[in-house]
Formats: sequence, C-alpha cells, structure tokens
Amino acid sequence: MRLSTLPVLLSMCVALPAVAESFVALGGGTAAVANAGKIELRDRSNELIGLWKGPSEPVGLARSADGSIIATATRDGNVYTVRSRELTITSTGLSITGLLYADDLLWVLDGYTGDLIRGDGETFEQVARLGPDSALMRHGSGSIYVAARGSAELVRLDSTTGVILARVPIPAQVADMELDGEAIYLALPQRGEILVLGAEDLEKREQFRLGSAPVDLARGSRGTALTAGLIWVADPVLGAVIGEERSQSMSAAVSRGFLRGVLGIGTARADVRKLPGRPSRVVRSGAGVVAQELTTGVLWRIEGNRVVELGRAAAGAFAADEASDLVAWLDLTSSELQWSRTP
Amino acid sequence: MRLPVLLIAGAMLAAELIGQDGSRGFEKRSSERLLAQARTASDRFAAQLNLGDLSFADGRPSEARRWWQRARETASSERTRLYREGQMSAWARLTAWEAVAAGLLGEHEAMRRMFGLALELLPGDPEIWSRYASAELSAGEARQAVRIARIALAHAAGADSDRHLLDRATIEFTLARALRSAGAEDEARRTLESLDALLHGASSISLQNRVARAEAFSVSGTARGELEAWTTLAVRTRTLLAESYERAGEVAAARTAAQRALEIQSDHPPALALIARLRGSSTDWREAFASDPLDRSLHRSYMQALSDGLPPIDPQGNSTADLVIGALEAMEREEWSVARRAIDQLGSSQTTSEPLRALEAEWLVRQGRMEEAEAVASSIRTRAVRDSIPPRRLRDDNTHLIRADGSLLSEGDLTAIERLLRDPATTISASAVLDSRSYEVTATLMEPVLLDGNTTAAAAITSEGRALRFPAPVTFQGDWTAAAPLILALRVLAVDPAGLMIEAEGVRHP
Repeated sequence: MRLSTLPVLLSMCVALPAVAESFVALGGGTAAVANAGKIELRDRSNELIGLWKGPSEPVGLARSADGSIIATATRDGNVYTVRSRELTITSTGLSITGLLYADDLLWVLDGYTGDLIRGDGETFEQVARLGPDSALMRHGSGSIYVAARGSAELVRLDSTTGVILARVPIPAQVADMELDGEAIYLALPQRGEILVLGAEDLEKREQFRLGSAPVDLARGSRGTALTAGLIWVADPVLGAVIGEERSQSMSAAVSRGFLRGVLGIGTARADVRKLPGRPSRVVRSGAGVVAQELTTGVLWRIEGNRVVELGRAAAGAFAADEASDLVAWLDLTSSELQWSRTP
Repeated sequence: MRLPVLLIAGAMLAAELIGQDGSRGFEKRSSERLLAQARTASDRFAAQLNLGDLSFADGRPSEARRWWQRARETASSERTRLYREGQMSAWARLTAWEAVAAGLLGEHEAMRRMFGLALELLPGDPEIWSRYASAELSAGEARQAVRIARIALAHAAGADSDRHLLDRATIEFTLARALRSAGAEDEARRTLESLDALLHGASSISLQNRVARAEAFSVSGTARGELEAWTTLAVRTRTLLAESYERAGEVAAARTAAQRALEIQSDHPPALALIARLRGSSTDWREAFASDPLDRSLHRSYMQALSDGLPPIDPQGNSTADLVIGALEAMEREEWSVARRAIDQLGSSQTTSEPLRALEAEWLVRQGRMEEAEAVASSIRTRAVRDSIPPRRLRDDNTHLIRADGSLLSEGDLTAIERLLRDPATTISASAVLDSRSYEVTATLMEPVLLDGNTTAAAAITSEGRALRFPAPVTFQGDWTAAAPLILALRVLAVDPAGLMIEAEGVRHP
C-alpha cells in the first residue's frame, strides 16, 4: 500500500521545554528522522536513501507537502534544510521551539519571545512577535494559528501574507490544539475540558467536559449524518484515549441523538479505550489512533475494539499515516526506525 | 503538592543565597526539625533539598550533593506512587521538583526533560516556570533563565493574594539575578527597583503588617512561611540593588539602599559588609563582623577590601569577631602561622566546627594546598537527623475483594472500589479484573436534560449518595428526568481526585 501523499501533520511544534529529542515525519512514501546529530531518509523497506548532518538536539521536524523538503532546527537558532538532497544550515538568532511547512514556506517559532519568522530555509523574514510562551503552531484553511499562552490569546495569521487576522482570549493553560477545517479544538487539562472555536472567526462554539485531564488531541474521521466525526484525546489520569463525537454538547447532540434513537442505535457516548498505561500523546492513524505513554515510550494502536502494542519509542518520536494503518517510530532501545508493517 | 513556603523560597532562590541573611543556623534547625518530623514525602523532600542548599552555602559541596541525591530519590519514589494512582497533577508538580534536584546534581538534560514533562500536564503554571528559570540560572544558563523567567512572569500576572505576590516577587528576583548574570546590569537594576516597590507597596500591606506584628526576625526555632519569605526577598532585593548601585559608581545610592536593607534586618551581613566597603571605616567592619563573624560572604568581602588597600583593623581582643578578623588579616599578609594560631584559638571556643572548618579550608586554599582543603571541607559532619522511610507492608492480591461480574453494587461496594483504586498496594491483576467487570447500580441521573421528548442527557449519576461521573455527557433513550431511580449498567473506568468515573453500558427500569 502506498503511503498517502496528502499533507500529513507536518509540524512538531512542541511545548516549552521540549520533551521529545528525536522526531519522525512521514511523507512522499518515506520516513524522515532527526536524531542524534543526523537527518535520515528511509524508504518503507527501511533502506537508507539519504543521510545528512543534523543537530544533536533537534527541536522539531517538518516536511513540505510533497515530502521533498525536510527541515529541522536547534534551540540556539540554527535551521537545517534538506532540499534537492542538499543541506543548508541557517542561523536565525532565535530560540527555536517549533517549525512547520505551510504553502511551501517554512514557519519558525521562538516560543520564548513569540517571534515568528518564515522563509525558504535560507532566508527568513520576521512575521510577528506574539509574546512569551507561544506554542502549538498549526496550519489549516490558509491560516497559521498560534497559542500565545503568556498573553492568554489565540492568534490567527494569514499564511500567505503573514498578517494577523484575529486574536482572541483563551485560557493560558492550553495543552494542545487541533484543527479540522471548520473548528479549532483546545485541550484544557487542568479544567478537564475541550474548548471549541470557529476556525474562521475564532468565536467560541462550545466548551465541554471530556475525561479527567485531556492533554493531547487528534482529529479522527470526518463526520456523517449519524456520526459527527471524532476528536480523540489522550487522558493520562484516566489512562485512556477517548473518542468523542465532535460538537457533542448537550444541545448540539440533539439532532444526532434523535436520529440515533429513531434508528434504534442506542445511547450516544464517548468511546473510551482504556490502556495499560497513561497515554499523553495521540495521533490519527487511518481509521484509528496511535497513542504513547511518554514516561515508558510504549506505543499502542487503537482501532475499533482492538488495542495493539506496537513497541517502545523515544518520547514523541513516531508518526502515523492518516490514510492507512502504517506507523513508523524510533525504537527506544536501539534508536533504529521501526515500521508497523513491511511492504 | 505545596511545600512549606520558606523552603520553597529557599530552594527557588539559588544555593548561594541561603545563609547570607544571617539566619543560616535558624534555617538549618528548621530543616532538621522538618526532616525529623516528616510524615509525608513532600516534607522529607523539602527538608533534604534545603539541607543540601545549606551545606553548599557552608562550603561543603560533597555533603550538599548527598542531600540533593537523597532528595531526588525521595521525589522519584513518591512520583512512582502518584503516577500509579493517577494523581497526575501532583505527579507533574513533584516532577518539577525532582528536576530542581537533578539540576543541582549537574544532570541538566534530565532536568530539562522533567520540566518538559511537568509542563505537558500543567501548561502555563507560573510556579513550575519559575522553578525552571531558577534551575537554568543555577546551571549557568543566564540568558535562558531570563527568557524563562519572563514566561513565568507572564503567567503570574495579577497578584491578588499574599501568596501570589510572593510568587511573583520570587520570579522577579530570579529575573533580576539572571539579568545580572547575563550582563544586563541596567535592566537588572530596574527590575530590582520595581521589585522593591512591589514588596513595599500597597499590594503587600497585609504582609508588611504581619511582619511588623511578628516577633523580631531572629532565631525563633520555627519557620513562619510567608513572613520569612517576604523578609528574605525584601532584604536581598535591597542588598542586590545596593551592590548594583555600587558597581555603577553611585555610591550614595548604594549606601542608601544598604541602609534600607538594614531597616528590614539590622544584622544582615551582606548589607553590613556593603556599608563597610562603601564607608571604609573600621567601625562599620566591626559592626559587620559582630553581626555574624563566621559568615563566609563577609570574610570574602573583607579579604577583597584588604586586597584593595583597606587599612587593617588589627584587633587586639579575643572575641570571636576579633579572632576571625585577625585570622583573615594574617592570611592577607601571608603570615600563615599567625593565622593558624587565631583559627586554633577559635576552635577552642567554638561549639560548632562547621564555619571553622570553612576558615581552615580557606587557609589551606590560600597556600595552594587544594587537596587538603577539600578533605577538610568533606570531613565536616552535620547534626541533621537521618531520614528513614517506614517499611511498607505489602498486601495480598485484592482480587477476592472485587464483586462478581453483574453484581448490583451497594454504597459499601462503591466505597471499596474507590479505596481499591486509590490503594498503591493494589496489584495490577486486581486492577485488570476490575476493569473487565460490569456492574449495576441503582441511581438517578444528576441534572438530567430532556432533549427532544424521548432523549435524556446527563453528565453524571447519583448512587447511594455518591456522584459517579461519565467522561462526557451521555444521552439515553427515553425520558429519565422524573428523578425516579433507574438501574444503570456500568464499568468503572478510573478514580481521580473528584471521585469515581464510570462508563455507561445500559439503563433500565427497576
């Protein structure tokens, strides 16, 4: 099965300070790995098809939409870009905490000051300064979204012009952010809630309790008339991942619940998948999700009623194809790339 | 998990700070008492961390490392328990504390990883950010400490209680020290001036009044938390400000700031030493030595002043202060035997040998006898009580306590389940059995909402007087708003600080 060429989650905009020290990103039928002073490119058979010098302590890994350009960075401001198999290293002077590709431009964030720049990897221009503790940079619907936690704001910028389009107040204690095109979901672990904003106007749509401490989000499948589509959360207090129908507030569930009742489907409820551990990372994987317990590195793939332990990965060093069940991760012990299945 | 404030302040204000305010003996006795009486891991950890800091301030790095290592082991053990019980917020806070201990032991990468883990669960927590800033400063990363302290300040905005004010003040103090270490002296001074205004302004009136009403801040034998923290911060802020003015050549401003520090604590050795340096009078130096003749920072200041050309006091008496001054002046003149005699005389009259050992180590260092100096420093023993963790009694597997599948649970059963989930001795197999079983309870829906005449939604149920929560609101077919009891089939998911969380599997009439 070919890997999807759709733009997978390309940003690894981690919170400050970084828990992850190694990164994996899928794209273009290959896996890119930033780890221990190297940037590697491997195919599905795990053959090494590219090797470049990389940072000893990378802070993120990004790939362009077609996977042809790979970028990683260091905390002291160096951006490593591999384009047409050539490596360039550019010093930005920032304390980089995150990066992503959007519209063929590399966006780089200094989460300490909120300085946001973008460029082609060799030259950059300043876009904005968003304030201390800026994190969770995301791209969708022609916009860049950043949680400026120090000022308790969500900022939306035009990904073409770089102009700030909107700033709205949000709780400062947001742990993760996920987009699904129409809405933005914010995980608030200290409140045990999910906050939903409109992706265009950033207006509050709803806020609902989900689990005990939702710390990470992943969007699931798109909705139908009967299922609103899922948003998944990792909840380490519950020791579970929870798949929640989107917009599952009391009022918004009326039509769906009613229809389900008419057709005799039964109660609508959150899909709770307890795990033998405390997951704090979750990403979409085909029709299911992959979750990780950061303290042990254990990876699980959950689809339907099946929970499969894949192995142990370095913290955060895994990636999943959104269109299939393929997962790649950096083994915790051997530091070698592993795949969930071979071609 | 909230550690005693004084010890928080002590751990957050780097090791070099502790003991420079003339209260090292008091702090050490408080820490020893806390350790001896510790009933919780957090108390034990706080005492061990503080004893390490005090040892370091006394020039005993090997002993300091031993205490920090013990603190780290205490935190690690407690974190395992908290993680197992799902107390993730407490786990995250203690992870941040263990990160402090790791940093003190020089394990900086581990320190950063642990702060990262803590902030994953508690993003935007100003206390964790503040601790992280202080740890980076201790690790020598002043610029990084500045960046992180600014984040901490952003999250600490709006001090609306004494506790919050102290938190904010501690962060600002850390920022000032980091700025100074990073070479941004002007900005450091402005930060200290702003902090001084905060500590003595309208927002801190209640704290100031409490300090004024309290007994004089001297050896009292008990830690009084916020008052001590305010005093420590206030006097150190003014002292650092005075030193900053001194470096900028603003002698009059430096003298004024040092005097104002003494208004808070009249025997604060660094302030007295600064006054003595600025005025250069033997009277000032005598006064500084009289306040704490064995304070090492005072010794360093006096030696530096002598080296810069200060005329020696040349004391003739046999008081502790006279003997110390005599020893230091003899060392400056490289009259080693004269200095040795003075140190030996001190030894015959001192009840504690620790500061004396430090003086002896200084005597050896100045002669270039480095190995002997380290041996002297590491031979110092404290009177701290050794910690002991009472042995845990392991229990048998509790599987037999779990009700059979399909049982109707009573209030006692629910209590037993909650206790089982919270018990750290509960085996994994017992937890797995509980996970796999379905039960029924007689319950009513809490605050049910009728959606459309034939669908009811609720976020929790009440059973036997106990609230059982769903992870998310659940909709049920039918109208269940009548508050009549129903039979709910459920699985127990977990327990968190708010109680049991369940998953609904079905509902029926009794």
